[in-house]
Amino acid sequence: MSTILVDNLTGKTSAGSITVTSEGGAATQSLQQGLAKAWLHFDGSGTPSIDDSLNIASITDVSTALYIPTFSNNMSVSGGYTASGGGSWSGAGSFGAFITFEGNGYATTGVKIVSYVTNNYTLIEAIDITVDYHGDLA
Amino acid sequence: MAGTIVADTLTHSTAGSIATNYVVEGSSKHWANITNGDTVEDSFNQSSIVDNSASDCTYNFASSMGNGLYANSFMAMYDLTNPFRKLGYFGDDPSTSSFRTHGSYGATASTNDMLTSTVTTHGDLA
Repeated sequence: MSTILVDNLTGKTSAGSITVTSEGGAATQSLQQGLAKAWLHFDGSGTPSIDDSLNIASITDVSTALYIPTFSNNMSVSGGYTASGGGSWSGAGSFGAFITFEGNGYATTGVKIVSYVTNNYTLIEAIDITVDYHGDLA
Repeated sequence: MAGTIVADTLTHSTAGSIATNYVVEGSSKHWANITNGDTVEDSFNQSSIVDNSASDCTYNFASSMGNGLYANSFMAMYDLTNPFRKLGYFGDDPSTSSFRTHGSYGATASTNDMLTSTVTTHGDLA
C-alpha cells in the first residue's frame, strides 16, 4: 500500500486537468470535472443556518422558502453548472420537500432555490435542505 | 511528458487522508446543464442528448458506465408562471450508455420542457 502526502494536486501538462483511470479500467476521465464543487446542508426554517458545507460562504434568505446559497469560490460560467438536492419537513407527517430552482437568477456566484412540500405544493421552509453542485470552477 | 502516480491514499497536511478509491468511485461520472429541453449549456462525459419530445430527453454518455445501477440526481427550473417543476426518470431503466428523463410541473404533473434541467451521475465507469 502506498500513501502520498500532499496538500495540492496540479496537472503537469495542464494545471487544471488531472486524469484518473475508471473503475473498470476501460476509460479515463478528468479528476477536476468529476468532483463536486460545492455541497450544503442547511436548516431553512426562519433565518437559514448552515449545518455543514463545502465552498459555501453564506445563504441569503430571500423570502419564505426562497434561498440563495453563495459560493466561496465562484463557478466559471453562469448557467453552466448543476445543482440537485432534497429536503425534509416535519410539519406534514411523512411528506417530504422538493428542492428546485426558482426564477432565472442563475449566476456564477450561486442560484436561487425554493423548497415546497410534496403533498400540496405549497412553499415550505424545510428544516433539512441538502444541495450539491457540479461544474467548472473559475 | 505527463507523469503517472500510483497510490492508494492521499494525505493532506491538515485535512486528513482519503483512500484513492474514494476519489475515483466518489467522483461524478457525468453532469449536464440543459436549457429549454435541448440546448446543452455545459456538460461532462456527455456525447449528445436526444430531445424525444416536450419534457422527454435522453442523455448519452461519452464513456459508458460499467452497469445500469448508477445513481442520478436531478433538479429543474421552477418559474413563477408554472411552479413546482420536477424531473425524474422516463420509461426504461437507465442503461450503460444513456438514461432518459421526464419533466413535469404543477400538482397535475403537466408536461413541458424545463427552462433549465440539471442532471448528475455517480457510479462506476466501464
